[in-house]
Amino acid sequence: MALGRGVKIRFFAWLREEIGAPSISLEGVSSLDDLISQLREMLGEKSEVLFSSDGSLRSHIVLAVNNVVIDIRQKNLRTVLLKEGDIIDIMPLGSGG
Amino acid sequence: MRVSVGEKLSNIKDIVEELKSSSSNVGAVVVFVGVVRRESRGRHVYKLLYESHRDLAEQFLWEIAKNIKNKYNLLDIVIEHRIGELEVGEETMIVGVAAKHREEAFLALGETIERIKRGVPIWKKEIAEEGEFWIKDESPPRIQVWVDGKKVEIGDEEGFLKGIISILEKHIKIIPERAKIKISITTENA
Repeated sequence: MALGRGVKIRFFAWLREEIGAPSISLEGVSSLDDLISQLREMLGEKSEVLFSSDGSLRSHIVLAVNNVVIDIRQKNLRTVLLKEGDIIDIMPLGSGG
Repeated sequence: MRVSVGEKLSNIKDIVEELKSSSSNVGAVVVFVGVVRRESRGRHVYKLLYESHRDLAEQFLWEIAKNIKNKYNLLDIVIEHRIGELEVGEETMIVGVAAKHREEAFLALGETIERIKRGVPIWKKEIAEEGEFWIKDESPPRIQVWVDGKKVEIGDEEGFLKGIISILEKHIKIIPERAKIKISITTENA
């Protein structure tokens, strides 16, 4: 599998505040599944903001790749391949109005 | 049909005119205006900070508008949502619908607002006397009921029991004898 490099991950609303950074970059990630694993390790204790104790993304988390929302509960994330320059947005459910 | 997410809202009168002019069959225009209020959850609010993922928020609003327009056979629909810093008394969003009759206009408007309040990537933070608070998803658990394998209702009732009881009461007449009833309760609040 070809390795993607240099993807940008952006965090929104309280996720950004709790993680303490508006965005981070990761290199050498090939798929969304790969990215999530690396992100969990990279965040250390702060991974609790995004991940449940079983390691899965919390149910209120919405994830988009290049402005396309990915159904993280249905889709096999290993099939979502990433390439250099991709932007991955991680956000909580909305509370507009 | 028009949606927008931005720092300004249109003049309400202009939106009414826009909706009225969508068809000569318009018989009802209903408009909702959201306003920042002082009291919220027992707190004294100074202002709200609205943040969004603007591209996605507009995509989501467009989908909602399209879906509601088809569902209620509307003649037109406009959704505008503000972002940025909003003081008490300022307008947060405008939703307007045009329909042949008032019944579908009211129903469509209500459902549109509920759908905007959850799921669209727009977030608000209360700046209050008591501190700063992000307003997280407040939607009650989603309650779905199947009767003999057929989904009869998806409800967003207040609380599990109230929701289940009201849905069962509403549909009890159509439940055949010895039907298998499956109740599924899911929540995004975890």
